[in-house]
Amino acid sequence: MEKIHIKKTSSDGIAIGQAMVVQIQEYSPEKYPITKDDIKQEETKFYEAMDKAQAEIAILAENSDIFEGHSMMVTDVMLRDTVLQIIQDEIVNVQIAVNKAYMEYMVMFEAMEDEYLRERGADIKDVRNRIIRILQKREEVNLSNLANEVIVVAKDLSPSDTATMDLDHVLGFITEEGGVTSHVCIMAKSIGIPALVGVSGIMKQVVNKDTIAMDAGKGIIVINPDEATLEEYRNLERLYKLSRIELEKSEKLEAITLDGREIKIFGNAGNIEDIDNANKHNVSGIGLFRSEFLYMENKNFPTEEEQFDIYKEAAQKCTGEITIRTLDIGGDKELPYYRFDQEENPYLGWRAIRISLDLVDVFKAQLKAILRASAFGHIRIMYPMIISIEELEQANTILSECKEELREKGCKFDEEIEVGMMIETPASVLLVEEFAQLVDFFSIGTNDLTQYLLAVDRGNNKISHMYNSFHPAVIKAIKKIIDAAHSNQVSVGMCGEFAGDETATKLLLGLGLDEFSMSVGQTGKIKKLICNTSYQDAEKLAHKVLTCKKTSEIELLVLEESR
Amino acid sequence: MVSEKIIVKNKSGLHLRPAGVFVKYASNCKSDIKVVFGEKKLEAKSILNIMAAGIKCGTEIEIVCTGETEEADLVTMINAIESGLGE
Repeated sequence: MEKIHIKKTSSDGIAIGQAMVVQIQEYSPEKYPITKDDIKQEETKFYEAMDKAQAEIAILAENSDIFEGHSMMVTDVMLRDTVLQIIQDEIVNVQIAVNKAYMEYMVMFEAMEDEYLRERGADIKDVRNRIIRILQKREEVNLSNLANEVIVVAKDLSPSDTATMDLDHVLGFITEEGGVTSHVCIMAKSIGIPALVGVSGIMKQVVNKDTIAMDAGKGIIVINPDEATLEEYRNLERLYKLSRIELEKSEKLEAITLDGREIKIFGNAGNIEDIDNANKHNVSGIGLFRSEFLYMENKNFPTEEEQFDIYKEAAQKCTGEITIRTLDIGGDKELPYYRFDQEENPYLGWRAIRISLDLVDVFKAQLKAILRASAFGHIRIMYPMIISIEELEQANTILSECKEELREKGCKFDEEIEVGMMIETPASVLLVEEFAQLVDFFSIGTNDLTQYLLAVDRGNNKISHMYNSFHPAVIKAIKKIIDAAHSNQVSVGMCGEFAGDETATKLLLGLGLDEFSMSVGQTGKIKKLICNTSYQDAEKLAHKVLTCKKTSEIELLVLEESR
Repeated sequence: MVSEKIIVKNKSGLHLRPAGVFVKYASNCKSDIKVVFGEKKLEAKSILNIMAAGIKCGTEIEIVCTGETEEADLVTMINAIESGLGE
């Protein structure tokens, strides 16, 4: 029995089964000599091999974009000419020429700065391998018909290797090379097969038909486990399957308390993929759509058109309402195209709405893009970091101008679009009654609110233990916000980490929170908690908590309740 | 020989997909087509050549067509780039 630990993991799940060691066939070119008279013949061989490769790839390309790219690489004129040139100039056989031409390009791509282009190097390698294999008149190693369920162990697996693989019989993947963003990892994750990659030395340690038990989440591989270990892993597997089923069931629940109060459980999203993920997990709305990625991954301030495309896609993909937060960026984050001055206190500096109100053109481009996208779904606009009525009024004035300009142009948008603000500064808490008369909704940003209320920098290791959202000052602030909102018919959500904290759920419910927005992975657990709680009980807990003077008392109360 | 300068407007430059569309258009033309990008002269019918050049959004490139159908081919290529190469 041998146990291997891997630090970097990216998938989940337990697999127990027989190893199938796949010797990945990296074909080396054969070195037979040729003379000038053979050149024509080598060229013919090359053309025939290209045709065959093209035919093989065409079948694979029916189900995969990756192979469309491969197809273009096979037919690439530059590459073709380079190969023919090498055969003629160096009088070498076609295999050596193909190898040389493709390797040149591969090296070039692998040295690129852009990660995406770098990965294309692997595609070129894959195509090279295919052509050399065809030239050597060998058949593709066929994994499309596996007799037994196996754990596939290989040096690395290319898209060509996995495309034809009989995945129904694959229990798990272990590869010696590759990172957590490698092809095999991404594919395994998307179809829910446990995978561990970058396991150095695994090819030497495992032989065919060894028994393997693996825990992909923890990064553990046991080779030829003894009976006790095997039993342990069988149990883990059962538990894992049960917890998956349980979680999926929870995600399908409607979040309604035992006494019938309906709560919105939404997801936070930082890009379009997050919305796809939310849909997959039955999350019916996005309580916080961070727009920062549009700015940070761009080469210049994103134009209205660029933003419109993204917001429109987001609105169309989101099954319910989506709250888009306007640019929330500060001196601690850099934009590649804009120089921020060095600030001594970036958290108290030029950030979020302050930037938007100064760079009016940038703000207007974003607001117009959001407005136009509102014709395609249920969008709400949210301003971050507001501290004064003046700021809110100024932002709304600019929003009105944007609406007017769009009307003049005849652009459609949601005339009734809801506008709200984050409550994350002490000033906005103290003025919350006044703000409540001016907005349609609030969203409490507990991360910043806790930090600003307690004057604790959570990134500072010496004091980070003092950062605690159960501090009575934070709880009282949340209570004040919700009360002010409800007496003005304003709804209140929360989009900080506190909203996804299972120990806080009952308390927040009791305080009257309408919407919890959190990372999508948390939603199942929180929905289940809401369904098992009565609002009346939760109110009682909230009442008790509000009489507490110390953080420790509050923590004790909520812990007792969540037991 | 005819040529025209144009600015690439694709968000992430000539990445795999727009580069693929570009090369498809070029391949359907009879002329010899080159892309002049800075100091480099690229083969418009080669996906690898175009991608490897890393042409970014906002970059000016020059399309040079040589051959019997050069006039029409140049128009085809310029229109393709202007229409966003399928993006």
